[in-house]
Amino acid sequence: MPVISRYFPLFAVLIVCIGLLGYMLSTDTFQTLSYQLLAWQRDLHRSLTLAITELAQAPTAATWGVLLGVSFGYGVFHAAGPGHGKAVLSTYLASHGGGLHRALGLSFAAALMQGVTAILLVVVLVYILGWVTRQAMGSVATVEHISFLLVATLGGWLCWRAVSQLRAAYAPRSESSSAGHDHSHEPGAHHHCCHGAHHIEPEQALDKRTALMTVLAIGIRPCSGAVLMVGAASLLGNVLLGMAAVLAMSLGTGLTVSMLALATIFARDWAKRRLAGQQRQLGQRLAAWLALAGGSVIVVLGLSLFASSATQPVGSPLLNEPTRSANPLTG
Amino acid sequence: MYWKIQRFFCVMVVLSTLLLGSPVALAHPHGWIDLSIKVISDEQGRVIALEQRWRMDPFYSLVVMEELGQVEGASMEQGLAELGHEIRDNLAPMDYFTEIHLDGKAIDTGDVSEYTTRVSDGRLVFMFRLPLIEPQPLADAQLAYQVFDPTYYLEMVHEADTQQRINDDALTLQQEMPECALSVKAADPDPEVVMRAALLDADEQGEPGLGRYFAETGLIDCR
Repeated sequence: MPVISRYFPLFAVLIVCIGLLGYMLSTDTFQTLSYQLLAWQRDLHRSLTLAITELAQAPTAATWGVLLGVSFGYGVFHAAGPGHGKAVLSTYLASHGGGLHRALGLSFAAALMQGVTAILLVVVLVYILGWVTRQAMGSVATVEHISFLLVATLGGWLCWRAVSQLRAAYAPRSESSSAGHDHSHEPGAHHHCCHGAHHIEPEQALDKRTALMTVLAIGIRPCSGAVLMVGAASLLGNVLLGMAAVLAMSLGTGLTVSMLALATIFARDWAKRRLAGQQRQLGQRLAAWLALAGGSVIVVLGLSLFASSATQPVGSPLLNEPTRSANPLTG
Repeated sequence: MYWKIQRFFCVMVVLSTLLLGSPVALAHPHGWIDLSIKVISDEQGRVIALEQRWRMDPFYSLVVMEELGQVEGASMEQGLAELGHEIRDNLAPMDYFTEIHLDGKAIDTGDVSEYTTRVSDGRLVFMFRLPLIEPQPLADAQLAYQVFDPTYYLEMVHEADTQQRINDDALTLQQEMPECALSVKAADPDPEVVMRAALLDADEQGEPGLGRYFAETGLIDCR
């Protein structure tokens, strides 16, 4: 409850947003809205491309500001559309819980990592290995595959954890549970069991690890548009501009994703409060089952994305795959 | 109770839509091409070809030229010529992204043999002449064409100013035809149709492709 009161304005905004969305759904405006989003995204993309092309050679403080602003906006709208990242993140949060800090942290970390991956791809492949930018863009498909496999792995790991939680939850227990064995697996319930300051919580270490894996699985997949942006800016002689634009884009993406993450946490808390009357053990079992379900969904998501990613267009239909120098990734 | 369930359902639908992303936005274009079209006709005023100029967006032009510059022992001109062949060969099986209708009837187009590639103002420009298999008389008829990438990887739009007003030279006639009115109609897809097409695409590959719904239509109306 203190969490709720501390972040009350945030929740109020969220409720209003969800209410608005619900209203639009009922009036058909939703589809118009997503079409509108596409149009905005398109216009922003175009003005960003033209602005970077024009200003890369001689940027001033003012043009830097405009560019970063447009990039940020583009990131906000860009994230409103595609993204297995959001699906993974919210499934994870919905099924495994976590506080607002975790939701915000994971969202921004994953979004920023996507930007950083794009930058690293250009730095390593183009600057160090001497590839051309279009080859670097082609490598995004490979990295994407790795990302989808990582998502499936994350799901598998969550499932495995959930199974051991289930075992613990269904194990016959004595009322005065012996210390060290009753790690409540419900985040938020820690306060009741962990008074010993010496007691290093293995659950926390595990959570750190899953959080890290989640960020990695989502964030390792860059957008080929971001790679193009950094590559083009470098060809125009101002790679820093491209990098800054991509990072600003990531921040915008993080903003949208974190809204969704917060909505997920909110929805989960709301559902939990509904069930608050239930016995505690039942809640714990329920949490473990939920964790298993979430893990399974993430496995399926990762595998189906992996299976379908081969059929997506990865390059301009006008041009052949770049073959002008050896490319170990695309052959 | 009923409204509670309904509200819960609403929230879930909104959440899952957000989660999986709007399928329309999923297919956003990665680059664009600015188009200009010149209608070519013979002495009898029959349309025989569409001459098209495609200007690729600055980023894509940059990375393609980077690649051309890396080829050793070849001049830029040779590289551009090579690129022209490549683009032509890739476009041929897709009818050069062009669909033409005369009074609603589909018109067949032939093979492109005249084409050039050059660089102007940092933009890669591909020009070609797309012949019609049979010359089409325009008298009392309306010719409509669309140029689009079905995959919607590339967005193809007529040359326009920053306010998105179509330039006058984006659609021209080779011969004066005072009785014909030229116009370019913006795409105005029914969002619902687009949504359905996008959802179809998710499990059923390709056909008919999202690009069609966002295509502009060029009209030569001589009725």
